[in-house]
Amino acid sequence: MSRLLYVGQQVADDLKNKVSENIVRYREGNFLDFEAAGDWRISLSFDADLARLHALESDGGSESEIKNSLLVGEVLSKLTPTLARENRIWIRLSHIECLEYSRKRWLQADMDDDDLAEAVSKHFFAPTLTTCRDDHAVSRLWWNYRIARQLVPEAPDRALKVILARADIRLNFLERPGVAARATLGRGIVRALEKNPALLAGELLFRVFMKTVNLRGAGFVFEIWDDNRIDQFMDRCIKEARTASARKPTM
Amino acid sequence: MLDGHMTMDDPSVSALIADGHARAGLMITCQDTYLDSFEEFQPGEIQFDLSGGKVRGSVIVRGVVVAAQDGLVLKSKSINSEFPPAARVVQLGDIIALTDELRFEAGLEKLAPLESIFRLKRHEDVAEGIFKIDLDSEAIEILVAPGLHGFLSLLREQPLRDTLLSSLFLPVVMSVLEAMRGEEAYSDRRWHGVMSARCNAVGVDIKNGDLADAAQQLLNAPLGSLQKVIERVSG
Repeated sequence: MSRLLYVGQQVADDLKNKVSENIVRYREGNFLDFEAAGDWRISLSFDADLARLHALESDGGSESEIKNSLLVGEVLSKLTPTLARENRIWIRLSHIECLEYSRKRWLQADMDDDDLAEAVSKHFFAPTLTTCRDDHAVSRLWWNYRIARQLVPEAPDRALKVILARADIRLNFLERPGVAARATLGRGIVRALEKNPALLAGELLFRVFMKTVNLRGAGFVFEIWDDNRIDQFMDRCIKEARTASARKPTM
Repeated sequence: MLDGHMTMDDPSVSALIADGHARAGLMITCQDTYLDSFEEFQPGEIQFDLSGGKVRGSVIVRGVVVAAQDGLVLKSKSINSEFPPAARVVQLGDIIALTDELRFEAGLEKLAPLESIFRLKRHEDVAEGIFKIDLDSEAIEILVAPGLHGFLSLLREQPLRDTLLSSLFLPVVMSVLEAMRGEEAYSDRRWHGVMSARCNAVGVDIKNGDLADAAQQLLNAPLGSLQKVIERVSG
């Protein structure tokens, strides 16, 4: 266990401004000499067992994404949502402790320098809500876990299996904070997906279902509904989505 | 800590809450940290603890009254008589009353000094006496020719430095706000995050507000600072 560290603002700015200059380091080297000499070790007030992050799997498959999200969520369990939006924590992790994982997962050896620099900017830095939630190699895993735990606190792995079953499901959940952030509603969607495998199987049906939930749910304070009522609402939305998606021509 | 006092303007809504037919509370939303919750409160003094890393960036709070049962008939005299009886029946979870939004900016970005996102940079290709702005880096780079760079660097160390607020930073901030208004291209730059937080904190509407007004607000009345400097040196 060791203190969780983050980089100084000037280090963060320099790294982002000099991705192209450091392209060889991203491709095959490391930043350990920079780390030893510069302002890379600002300490947070809690410990984390970062050595466990060496077990991150880089194949990008759904199973690996679930395992990785659980791992990052557990290792960085003391991180609050406020801190988890701090770019400089994630910059440190993707450049030092999780460099190998981030490189193998998001950079390809046959990329030319421009494409590589673009991929580095996208997956090694987390300056905005969307880059932090969707793109940064490690922070996206933390947010997967966080949202899964918000939905099913007693078994976040159950929610992860549903959310990460397909990329479009993750996007629909996470890109609609009005759904994912409202635990009562989000839990209902998780239960609906578990009960109705067809929703997980068809991209069109799921998309129409989420649109229906949004449309039919507008203006309700779901938080005062019980699970039974939420499930009935979901059943109605699934029925409506089935009818609507059956009418849509497949593209 | 969020604290305040919740009152109802409409006696019929108060009666619904008192009788248990409706429930009151706060809808608290913070998109940046995925917080979207309904916290129930009785009318009167209310307090809600937002510490412990729950919020960052824009936070929106609304008072709300919600129907606590199906088939609840609303009898408020404030409902326009054109609404037929059927339109006055609400179901469990329907919103009966809503306040205006209370918005505030949480986090430390808004407190970052503006100087921390500006960098004066020497540039051989800029003509003497003028400046150019480069927004592609993490800080806003103000590019000037070597001669002017030397002069401005000296001036920034002196009491007269406040003259730069109106002569240099006012047009720079206006230009930056215009760039932020126009496109999302710079949203991943650090300066963009700090400027957005500052704007939210002082209530500047980047998309629609007047740029000169906004820049003067962000720089805290720079012509007033100029006036003070001139009065000091001439008095």
